[in-house]
Amino acid sequence: MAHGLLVKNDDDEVLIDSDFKHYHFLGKFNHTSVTQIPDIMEGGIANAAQGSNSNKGMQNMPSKGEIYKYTVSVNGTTPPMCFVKPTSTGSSAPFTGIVLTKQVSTNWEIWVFQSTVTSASPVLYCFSPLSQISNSTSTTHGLKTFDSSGNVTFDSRFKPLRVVGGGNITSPTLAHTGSTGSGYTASLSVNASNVAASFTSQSSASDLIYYCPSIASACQEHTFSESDSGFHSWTYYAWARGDVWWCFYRSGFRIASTSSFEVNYGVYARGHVYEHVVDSTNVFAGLILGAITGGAYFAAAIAAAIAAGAFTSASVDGGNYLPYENSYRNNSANAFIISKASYYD
Amino acid sequence: MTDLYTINKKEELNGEFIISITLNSKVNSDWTEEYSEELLKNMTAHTRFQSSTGEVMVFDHDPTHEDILEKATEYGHEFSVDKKVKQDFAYGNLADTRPIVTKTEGEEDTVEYTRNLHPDEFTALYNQVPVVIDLLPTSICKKGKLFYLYYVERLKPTQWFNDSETFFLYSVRIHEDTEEIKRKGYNKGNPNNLPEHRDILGERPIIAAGEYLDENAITLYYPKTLGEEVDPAIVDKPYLGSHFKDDILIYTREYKHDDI
Repeated sequence: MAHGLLVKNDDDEVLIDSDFKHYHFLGKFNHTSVTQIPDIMEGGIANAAQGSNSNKGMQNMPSKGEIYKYTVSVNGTTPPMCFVKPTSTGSSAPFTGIVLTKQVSTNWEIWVFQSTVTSASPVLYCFSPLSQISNSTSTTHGLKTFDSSGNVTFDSRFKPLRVVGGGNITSPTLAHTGSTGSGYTASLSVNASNVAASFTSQSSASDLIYYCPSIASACQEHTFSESDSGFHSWTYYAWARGDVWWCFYRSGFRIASTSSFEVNYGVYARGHVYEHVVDSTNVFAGLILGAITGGAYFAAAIAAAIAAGAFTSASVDGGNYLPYENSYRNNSANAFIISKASYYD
Repeated sequence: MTDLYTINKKEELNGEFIISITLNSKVNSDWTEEYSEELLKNMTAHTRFQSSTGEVMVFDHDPTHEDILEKATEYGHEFSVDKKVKQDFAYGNLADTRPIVTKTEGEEDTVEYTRNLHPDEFTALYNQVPVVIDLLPTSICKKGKLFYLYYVERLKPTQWFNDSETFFLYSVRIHEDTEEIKRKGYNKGNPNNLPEHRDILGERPIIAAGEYLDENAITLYYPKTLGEEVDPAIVDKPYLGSHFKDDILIYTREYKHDDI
């Protein structure tokens, strides 16, 4: 930097760099709608003559979280940086995280996932480079920097983003630990231990806002199949039933205290697909039924559900799909930034 | 290689080994496919029940076979399940293939032969029946000059029973000389509210009721030992049958598996 301004603190951390497009306060945004990902349920015979008919729905499945949708009016190719003002803080607060950011015409659409349903709603505090903010002020005092092309990169009159803490946080690997269920009872609730990261202690937890997009996800399933064939009442009989229950989890975060930031999962989407077939006429069919109750059976059941139109909105942001079988993604090194709502209220 | 489980995926993440696994369960795990085929061929009642459960297991090291078995036990999984073979009235089962013997005081014992378990005796008796029969019975016995042909529910003898005459078990009695035929239907319990003759039977639970369709007669069945649970579909324990004609007790018989 031959010319310009570079301001650092005592820790040699850059506070202002005239070559950097600093983020400034864009506004507070309330959600425009709230939704949940619809359950995926598909199955064969509702009440079969042979084999168990229990739990052909979603009994014992954990509750889903909810998704708040926001429309952030900022016209530009650089996505806004949105901080979450959570509905509550502390050890009982829900986990919340931004799960989707996409440009829609001249706006940006932000989805915020919260692990539990609450009456209150999270609020977004959004920031953007000055070039994407249409603000005006009559204030004539302050600090304003320009880059080498003459573009304004920092203007103290427009509430620049003030960071009070931050760090990295790693999500739990599995959302549910231990057995995934027994028989036709799935056990897929989030029971992983919270993971905490500390930041510079602040005076009031309820004043804090955070930026930490949800990037970790996990998908866990419980599968169960039964089959029987044999000879009974002078008749060959055969039946088979196979089920797969799954939950797709997204990570979320919370302000646990004035110096602690925590992460865990919430249930983002869930589903149950089963197949139940009965054949009392042919023993050889029975033998085949017995043989197909394995991994290929579940793949076939899911394929049948897709063919039946159960996955009617199988887009990624729709979320109502089985994204992958038991697996865990992007759970490490999630950067977070802490600021204060009172700076911008 | 084991048939107890199948490892579908093994991942190592953050120093942990995460196993996606399918745990299997089945009855009589020492059964072979050949043995099962033999049972089917001989039309012997049996079950080939099996189940499988998908689980996720986490270890701090690459697990051994023993580690997986221990974790499966911790999860409450049972590799072998005890499931009763489904059986019917008048059948033998795998545990007791002896025929059902009927004992009546003052009369000679009679033996009921089932088609699958005692084919030679069954055929010998069946060939003596003097009338043309459309459907092979499930079992057969002879008391004096009367042949008794039994049919289980799924093999209803429509030669003698019409659509409205539906029972859990059917029998026809054929006289050796006159060829006279008398029909009888059986139900579990007493759903048709036949007179239970409590003055004679006391509080004995009625486990099955036989209804004669061509005469005013019934047979009430109940456990031989009071307080004992008896499944009339299996004949796993001895039970009694009291025969009433015109509301008068004619005789009481005992039914049980026994040596010939």
